Amino acid sequence: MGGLYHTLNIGSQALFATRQGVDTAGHNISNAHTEGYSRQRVNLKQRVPTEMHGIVRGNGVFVNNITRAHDKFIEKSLNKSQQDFGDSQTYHRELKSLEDIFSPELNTTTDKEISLFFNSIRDLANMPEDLTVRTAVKESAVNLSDSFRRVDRDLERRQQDVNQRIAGEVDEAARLLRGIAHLNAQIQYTEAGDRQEAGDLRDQQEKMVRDLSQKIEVNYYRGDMGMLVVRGPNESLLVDRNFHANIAPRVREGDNSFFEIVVMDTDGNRASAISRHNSTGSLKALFRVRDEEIPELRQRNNVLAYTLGNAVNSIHRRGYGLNDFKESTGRDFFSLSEDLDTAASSIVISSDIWESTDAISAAMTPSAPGDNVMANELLRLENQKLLLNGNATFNEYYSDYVGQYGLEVVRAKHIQEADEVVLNDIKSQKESVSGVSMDEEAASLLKWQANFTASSRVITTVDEMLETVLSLKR
Amino acid sequence: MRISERQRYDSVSTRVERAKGNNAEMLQQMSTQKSINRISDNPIDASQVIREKGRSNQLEGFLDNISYGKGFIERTESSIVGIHDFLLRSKELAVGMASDTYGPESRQAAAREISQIIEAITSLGNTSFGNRYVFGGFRTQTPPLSKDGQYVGDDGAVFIQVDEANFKKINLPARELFEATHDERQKGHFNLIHSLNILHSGLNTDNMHEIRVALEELDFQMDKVSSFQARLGAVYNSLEKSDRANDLKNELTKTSTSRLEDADMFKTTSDFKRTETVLQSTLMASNKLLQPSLLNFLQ
Repeated sequence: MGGLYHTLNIGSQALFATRQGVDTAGHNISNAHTEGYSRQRVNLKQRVPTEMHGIVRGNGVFVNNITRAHDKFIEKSLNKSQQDFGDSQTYHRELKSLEDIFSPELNTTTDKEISLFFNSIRDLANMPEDLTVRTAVKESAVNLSDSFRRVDRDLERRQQDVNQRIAGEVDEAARLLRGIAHLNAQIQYTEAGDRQEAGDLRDQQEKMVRDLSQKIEVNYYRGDMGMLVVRGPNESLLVDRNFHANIAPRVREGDNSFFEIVVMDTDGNRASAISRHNSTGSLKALFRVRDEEIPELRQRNNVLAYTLGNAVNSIHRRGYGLNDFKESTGRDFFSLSEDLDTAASSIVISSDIWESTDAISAAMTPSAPGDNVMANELLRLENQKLLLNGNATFNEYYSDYVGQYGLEVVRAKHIQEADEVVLNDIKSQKESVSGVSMDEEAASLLKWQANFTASSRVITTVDEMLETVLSLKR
Repeated sequence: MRISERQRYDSVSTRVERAKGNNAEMLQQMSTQKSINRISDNPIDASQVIREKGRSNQLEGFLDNISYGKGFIERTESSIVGIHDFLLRSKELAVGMASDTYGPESRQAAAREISQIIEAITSLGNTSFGNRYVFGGFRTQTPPLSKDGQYVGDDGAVFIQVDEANFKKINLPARELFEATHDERQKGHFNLIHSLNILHSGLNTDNMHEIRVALEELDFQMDKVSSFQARLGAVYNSLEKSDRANDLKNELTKTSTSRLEDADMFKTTSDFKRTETVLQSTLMASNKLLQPSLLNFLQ
């Protein structure tokens, strides 16, 4: 039999263990709303019993370790859906931000300018000799060409914005990689050679991985000594132990300041581009918007400007103007680049018309101020199906491409909503396992408190017993 | 299932957000009275609206054209009627003066009236609508009839667009009106003003032969003027027809545009009310949901 001090020892160990219980409950409560925190649990264990005089006796309790409530399978699927959501959310946001360029609320949309232009030509057909009408034609043509250029310029600006955002996201990802590698070292140090788990550090690290996977495709597993190994697109090694690769935005070769993503080793050598291989995350969405969606819209605008400009020109060239221009033909109405790709950005009214509205050629015969034959020819263009292989007028083409864009926005929105539902579901699963519940913590506080009181009672009892023993001798 | 704190707060904030979003959307529909405020609200309808609006715009252009054309024709017609009346008066004079009842003085007095009539007809021939001479063909900026009654306009035909595919000619081939064609010359006819000149000189010089020639010629000229008037009437009628057709089409287009993009007031209001109620009850429920915890009951 052990002495009274043995009993005292059991009591004090119990006090320590229960205090740790209250501690952990407090830690849980204080982190109830910390992003990425997993609730922790004190695992008590009875000490190894000792045998003496044929009796095996318990030796009290000790805190074996503190573990976190965590499910790594949920964590994996959370990361996966985080990636999908990062992709669809960014895609929808960036695509939707283009909407005000085409919004019907805006009263200077290109389709409206085209209508106004043809309306002014209609007035010209009625009164080809009227100076006011000619000035109105010039003004509406200036507005129309401005509208083409504005759409092109706005789209290009958005393209540049997206490009800058790519650089920002890549820098952010690089920062996260550094953080993950740094925490790897700390985890190794804290958990070294023991059965301890550095729950808070792992939580932080996993939060970083989640943030990272929202941006770019990553795969990971916990390797030696609890350290994360992270691989990126094209199996590029991003984090191993406390080493991390550098990823950075780099201007694409032979390109106008557009970035691609490159991975380099820690010293900045052996760079390889991975943008093409990245299959998900917000960076994929950004590349898609920058390299596919916006160029497509710009191209549509170019086609419209190019077709309209050249169709008007080819008719206008056959016409005669007024006064100084009444005997001559061959003037362009619009001046625009011969290259389809720069048609919208280059379209302006021709310098002849800019200088004098007499150059507007409505007549088919020389010196005939009332001749409106060419103006009527121009009017026919409005209903001619010149686009989409002879299937669409200018107005139909515009409504077609704007409609397609709108459908794409709606599609992106639906995908985002679907991804969000999945993500929230998994998040809620994770929270269900790892989240802190106040009720639970309150109950556990009560539990530990009662336990603490009881353990103290053991100590006071031993104290009284000691007193009794000491008072044996008078 | 374990429900953690974050789960509760997250679900509350998601629900409130959703209720607020729906409410804001209905509020926008209420205030703009449009169910399509952005393309992505309904891309199919939105692109349809773009087409319909373009079409309606065009139809309004046609309507403007037609009303301009009608004005042009009305002005032309009033001149033609005037010319006809003057020719009639000339004929009356000629018939009267062709008999032996009147003496040379009376004929000279009639000649003076005829010369005034010639001036009046010349001025009618130079009628303008807006700033263009209606009988000038494409030469709209110079008077088509010279002082001596020669036609100096051209044969330009002025067309206006009345619908997508059709252009209507609104001016008359005035050369035919004022000038005898080659065939007519062969048959012994003269230019319009020239026939009056013959009458004038016949009356002035008391030449009965000339007066009779003029009398016959005036009949011919009046027939010609009447036939031009009839032609104008035909064009005017067809413009009227296009006018009505375009008006109807425009109304239909506008109705269908409105059906597509305008919010149904009753539906929008009741939807707004509904989302508002949902929002309020969500907020109230959330307030209740977030309150209780075991901690509140511990002493």
